[in-house]
Formats: sequence, structure tokens, C-alpha cells
Amino acid sequence: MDQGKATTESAAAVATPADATVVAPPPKPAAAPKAPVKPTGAKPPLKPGAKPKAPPTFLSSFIDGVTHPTLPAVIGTLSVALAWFLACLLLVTPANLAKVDARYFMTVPEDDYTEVSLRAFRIAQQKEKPPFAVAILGTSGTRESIYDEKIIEEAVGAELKMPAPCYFLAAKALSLYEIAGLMDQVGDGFRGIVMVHVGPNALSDSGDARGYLTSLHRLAFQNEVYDEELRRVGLEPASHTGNYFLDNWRFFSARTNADLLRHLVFGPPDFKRHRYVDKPPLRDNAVGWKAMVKTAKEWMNEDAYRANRQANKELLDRMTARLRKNGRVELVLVEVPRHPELSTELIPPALDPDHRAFMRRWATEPGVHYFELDDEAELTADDLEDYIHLRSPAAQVRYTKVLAEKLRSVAATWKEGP
Amino acid sequence: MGRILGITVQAIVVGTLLFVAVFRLAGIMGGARVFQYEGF
Repeated sequence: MDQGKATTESAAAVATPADATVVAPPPKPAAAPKAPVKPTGAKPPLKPGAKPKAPPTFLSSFIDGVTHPTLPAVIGTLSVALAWFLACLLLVTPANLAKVDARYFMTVPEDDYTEVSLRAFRIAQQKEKPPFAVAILGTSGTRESIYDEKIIEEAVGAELKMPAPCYFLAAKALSLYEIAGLMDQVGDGFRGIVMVHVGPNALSDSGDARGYLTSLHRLAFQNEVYDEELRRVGLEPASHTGNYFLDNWRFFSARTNADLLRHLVFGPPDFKRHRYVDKPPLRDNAVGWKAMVKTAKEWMNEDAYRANRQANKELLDRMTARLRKNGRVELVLVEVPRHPELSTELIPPALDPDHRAFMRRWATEPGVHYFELDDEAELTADDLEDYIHLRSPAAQVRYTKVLAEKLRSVAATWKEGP
Repeated sequence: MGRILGITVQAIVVGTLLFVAVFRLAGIMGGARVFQYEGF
């Protein structure tokens, strides 16, 4: 027992010597506030074993710039968009559009209105107007009747012994108001023949019964004549700012889509003028044929014809009088082709002889001619797809040749003097 | 330099798309469409 006590005491004596003085460590002084460490640009030291980061390459910087939104990128984006808008204001003009292939804008397959609008711009931009030209105006019935306007150019040119360009300005459902506007857009200096396909339907129009004129901007222009003719029938023309692009932006907006981009990259599409030659005969489709006859009957309004034909005659007379300020202009009115079996069904029996007599009286006026070509062109039921559109190329050639001869006979009077 | 070029390309591409989209959208809202014959 005493040994244990002595062991404990001797252990304590080793641990703490008898003469040792336990001194408390001095209090540590308060740590001075550390000054903020300025970044020196020096990279923090790498952890042991870590590899240094490679400097950014040109490509990685480029990709970073392209893919990350930054304030400069936003400013640049808005500036580019504004620049495009200003470019359109300055560069989209009839003069520049006259140099463009109309097919680039044809983002639907049958865009007649782009074709005739840009053609009118091209004609207007001619520095020297030809002394004699032929303008062909009408609807899709006209488009499907004329095989190739070169047939007319050759016939009339041979008669006059000088070039006689033929301007094809027909478009589907073209109204008489748009016809007047087109001839005004063609510009000063037009002399020669203006051929208009007419029939009871065309002469019965008044206003915008089908909503084509006021809800759509079919033509790529507006002008004073078109506006005036719209006002005469109670329609309000579109407002004008004086800038071509702002006045016609809807025309171009409607054609701004993926097809436009495809045309710019891969080239313009083919424009098919004749659309019925490849179709199977509508006659073989009983339901379609019946629907067509019903629609055509609804369009032929005898009361509207009698109420409006005089006003429409005056519209074409005004157009001709305006053109005659440039020189001699002959107005040639050609009866639209008719399906021989439908003619009596679609046009009221009392109306047709009255209409023909009206047209023949009109043709007694100076400088006005009227032709009915169906018999001479030997059109048969098989030649027409429906009540007005030719579907047979052979029939189109016959019709165009007959028309060319009539226009040649009118041109012959030109040589005899005014 | 690469980053500046990248920002420029972004501005041109996105700016062009922005203009086209706004132009087309304005047309759609304004009733712009190409006339397509509704007859036969």
C-alpha cells in the first residue's frame, strides 16, 4: 500500500518539478484588422497535382461570343433589325423591283399578281417606249386563251414592219378597276392596242362584292387612277404615306416565308401560266362539274349586269382617254371564250343578244373594236375545262392565232393614220 | 477578337431573324395574304 502511494508521489514529482513555477501565458495581443487584399491578377496557386488551364482559342472565344447573350449583342441585334427596315424603305422601289425576277416572290404556285405587277414596273422603266405595243388584259380566262404572246407580236410586227411588243397583263379574277390601274402603272408613252377580254360577268361588277379589293392587296402598287376608280364605286382606297414600301408592305409581308428563303438559296420556281392543260377534264367529275355550273350561275347576275354595264363601259373609256394623251390608242374588246354547252345555261337567254348588241354599239365609237372569236377559233366542248378556261393547247394556239389576225387588222388601220 | 466576331455574327443572324419575324407577324395581324383563286 505504501509503495503505491510512493509511486504516485514520485510520478507527480517527475511531471511537475518541485521548483517549477506555472506561469500563465501572456495574453495574445488583439489581431490588427487585415487590409483588403487587392487582386493583383495573379492566379491563385494551383492545388498540387492540378494541370494549368489552357488559354482560350479563337474558336472558343468566337463560340462564346455567338452563343452568349451580352449587352453588345442585344444592341447589335436591334441595330441590324433597324438597318433591314431602313434598307427596305430605301431600296424596295418599283424601279428596283423592275430588275428582279418576279418568280422569287412567288411563294404560292399561281401568283399572277406578282407577275403582272413586276411586268408593269419593267414596262414603266423602259427608257424609250416603243412606238407601238399591245397590252393584253383580262382574267384567268385570258391567261388560258393566249398560248404565247409571241404569236401576236409576230403578226402585228409583220403588219407594221417594226417590233410590236406584246405585254401580257392578265391575272386571275382581275377587276376592271385593277385593269385601269395597271395601264396607268405601265406609264406614260404607251401607244398601240389595249385588248381587254370582256363578257357579261366583267361588265356586271360593281364594287368589291367578293372582298378581293379592299381586304387584299393583290397588286404590288397603288396609284391615283386605281384610287379614283375605287372611290367612284364607293370603296375607300388604302392610305398612302408617300413611301412605296410602307404603302405596299402587306404585299411583301404576305410573301415573306420559308419559300422565299428557299427561292433565294436554290433559285426561283418555275411559273406555270397554263394551269388547266394537265388537269383531267372537269366533265369527268360529275360533282365538280355541277358545283362549277352552280357557282358560275351565281356569279351571273342579270340585274347587276344591266345596272352596271354602262358604268363599266365608261371606266374603260376613261382608261383609253387617259392613254390617248400619249398618242394613238385603240381599244379592242374581245368576248371571253364560252363553253358551247353552258353558254345558254349560264347566261340568261334574254341577256345575251342584248349584251352583244351593246358591245357592237360600243364598237361603233372611234378607236373601239369588238370581236367574238369562239366560232372562228372552232372551240368545242372538249377544248374547255369549264365555262371559260381553255384546256387544250391546240385550242389555245388556234384562239391566239385568230386573235393575232384581228389585232393585225387593227394595226393595219394604224398605218393609214390617226 | 474572336469574341467580337462572334458577337457580330450573333447580332447579324438574330437581328435578321427578328426583322423577318416582326415583318411577317405584322402582316399576319394586318390580314396580308396572297390572293388564291377560290373558284374552280
